[in-house]
Amino acid sequence: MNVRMHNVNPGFGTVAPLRNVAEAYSVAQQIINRPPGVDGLGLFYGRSGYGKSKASQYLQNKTGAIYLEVFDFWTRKTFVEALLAELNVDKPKGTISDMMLQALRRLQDDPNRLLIIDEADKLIDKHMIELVRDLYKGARIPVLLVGEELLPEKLARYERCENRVSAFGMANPSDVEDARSLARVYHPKLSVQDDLLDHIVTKTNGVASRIVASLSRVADFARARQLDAIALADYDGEVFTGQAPRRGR
Amino acid sequence: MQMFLDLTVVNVKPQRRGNRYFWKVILEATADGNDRFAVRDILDKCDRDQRKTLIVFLQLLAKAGYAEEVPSEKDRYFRLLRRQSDCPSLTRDGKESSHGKCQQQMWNVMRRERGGFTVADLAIAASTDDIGVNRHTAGLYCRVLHRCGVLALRKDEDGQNYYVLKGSANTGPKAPRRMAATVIYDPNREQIIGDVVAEEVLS
Repeated sequence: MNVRMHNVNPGFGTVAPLRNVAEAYSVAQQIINRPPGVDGLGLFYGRSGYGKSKASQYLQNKTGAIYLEVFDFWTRKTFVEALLAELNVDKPKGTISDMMLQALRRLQDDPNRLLIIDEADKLIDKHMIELVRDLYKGARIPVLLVGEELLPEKLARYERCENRVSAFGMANPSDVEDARSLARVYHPKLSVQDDLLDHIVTKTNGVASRIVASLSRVADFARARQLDAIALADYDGEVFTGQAPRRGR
Repeated sequence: MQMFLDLTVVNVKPQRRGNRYFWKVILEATADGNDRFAVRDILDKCDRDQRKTLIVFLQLLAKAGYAEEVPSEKDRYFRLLRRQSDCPSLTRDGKESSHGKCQQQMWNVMRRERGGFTVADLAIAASTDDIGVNRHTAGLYCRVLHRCGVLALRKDEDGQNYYVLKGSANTGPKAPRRMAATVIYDPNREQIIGDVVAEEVLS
């Protein structure tokens, strides 16, 4: 995001104190540490802009997970090739079943390593979700499906998958508490008062990337006026309500 | 007087030693489901004179619960207790080490932020509660990767620098690592003499 900053050294993850990150992490822990005999398929879902991908990025770094983002143009073959590439197989080739077997062998080497599949609803739309079920069944690794609001309903059409889901988490819009955490991490030297944070959260509908962009404008505004604390009454600049910033997500 | 040389490096070959290599060989040796392996069988696949360092590594694995020694009259045998594809990164007292994790976390972020990132964005997004990436570390890694053509440097409309991972440089999940080598140059023949061995920069 377009944030200009001084001395950013937060000491801990930006996204760590956010509610959605805590929620995603809790789902991940439930499926990673599940008791024997319990299935390890987890869902994390919610509207776009609520920070699902950022939360999954934190999870990836925190747990050393394998991360796959599904694209619209993917076929079964591209799915397996992308998975193998993430498992460090250089230029995977062969039939889909050969490659699936190879992926299973690799995954079996890391039985507790989390596999995160982002935009998982696209796999369901393209009738490819059974591949995930096969992976899950064959390697018994924990799998976290991340996707849009309707992910659980879509998955319900595939009964054999659905009844393996053992943990659910829902991404929610950011609240003032989250905005405060974002302000602290992105602008550690500026104290943004709660009334202004509240205004920003309302105006941006709690979309995290827009809150960050708005905070960046607030920080520019404060810097120009040499303020180290800023409240709603001090601020007559804009709040970023439109499109997400050009960069970042 | 300072000299400057252009080097073209071809044929990089990992040495058959070091913990990472030992781990790979151990995984291969136990791939058939038999977890027991002989130290000698691993040594056969290593460079010469590696016995001591291998034993130190195996004892470290044992301390950390990844392996255990199997009593035997002949040679030494170990059993692998925990399989994982990446070599465990351990401190001398057998605890998980954070070495290399900052770079890996930054690399994960770089691969995902297709629109690019500022150094500050990277430091924040790559940090977790146990491994914090500070801005200095992020800036250094970006500069190194920019210099070798992995990252492209751009300016946004405010004139602020940001980096983008080049598509062709997104070669896989493992983070590029900083290596250092000392080379001996003979100015008479204008040649590098001796073998060039690069070692990872531990910082």
